[in-house]
Amino acid sequence: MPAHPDAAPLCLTVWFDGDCGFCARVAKWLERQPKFVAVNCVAAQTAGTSSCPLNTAELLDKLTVTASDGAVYRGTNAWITLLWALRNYRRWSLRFARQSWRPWAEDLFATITGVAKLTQRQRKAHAAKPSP
Amino acid sequence: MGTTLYAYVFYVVISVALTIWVARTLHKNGRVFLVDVFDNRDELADSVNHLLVVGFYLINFGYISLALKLAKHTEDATQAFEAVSHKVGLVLVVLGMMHFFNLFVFSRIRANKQIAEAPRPVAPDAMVQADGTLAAINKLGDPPKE
Repeated sequence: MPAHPDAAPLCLTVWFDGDCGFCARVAKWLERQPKFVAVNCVAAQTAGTSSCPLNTAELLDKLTVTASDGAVYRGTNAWITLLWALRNYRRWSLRFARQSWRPWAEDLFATITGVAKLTQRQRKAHAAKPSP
Repeated sequence: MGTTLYAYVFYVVISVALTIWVARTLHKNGRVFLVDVFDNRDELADSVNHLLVVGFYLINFGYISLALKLAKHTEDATQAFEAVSHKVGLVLVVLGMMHFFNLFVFSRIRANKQIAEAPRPVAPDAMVQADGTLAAINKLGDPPKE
């Protein structure tokens, strides 16, 4: 991945599921973190109204990070890029990107994504229950 | 009493000489690290280098002073030699620890700088083209898990 020394300040956009409480909490946590690079958290449901090249269904399928220079990261790459933007976690990002750490990173981020999808399903099931 | 005084004099002279030698070595060879860390700003690197050496002198001279007193007076030259050897050995261990601590600080500062300047560690899965469409580079995200 080439560096971008002379480009305008890089900005990352994280597309998260606006209907998922866990994702919203993670987004709030992200906003509080000290960063090397600006990170905007945007609900995937608003993708249609923005210039995002992916539609809402695609964004909800996997965590997606888009960079202001046009780069699109999905899944584990998106998690690693996100950690790279954070001051306190860039060290971990560089580790997870190594070939030897990659399987661990994929399992870890798949688990986090699984937790998000589980809470989302529970929420939907709870909402669908008819009130007594 | 006579040999004890000589032991003290030898201890102080040897310890001070060793401290000065280690401090000068650190000052001379640590500068290259600091100049690199501070983006070739020589003045800043020299200033930090000087402050580190001052701290190094203070800690070591402080230890030498505190550890000066012998538990008992030496009776002859052999005992005096053993006492001086013991005291200087302790000073050497403290100097060694301080030296490695300095190295740790230098390498830590350097590693932090390298992390702050690290480029993105993974290649993008796709790039947005000028017309707003996506051009996949390798794959779009992770392969499906079996």
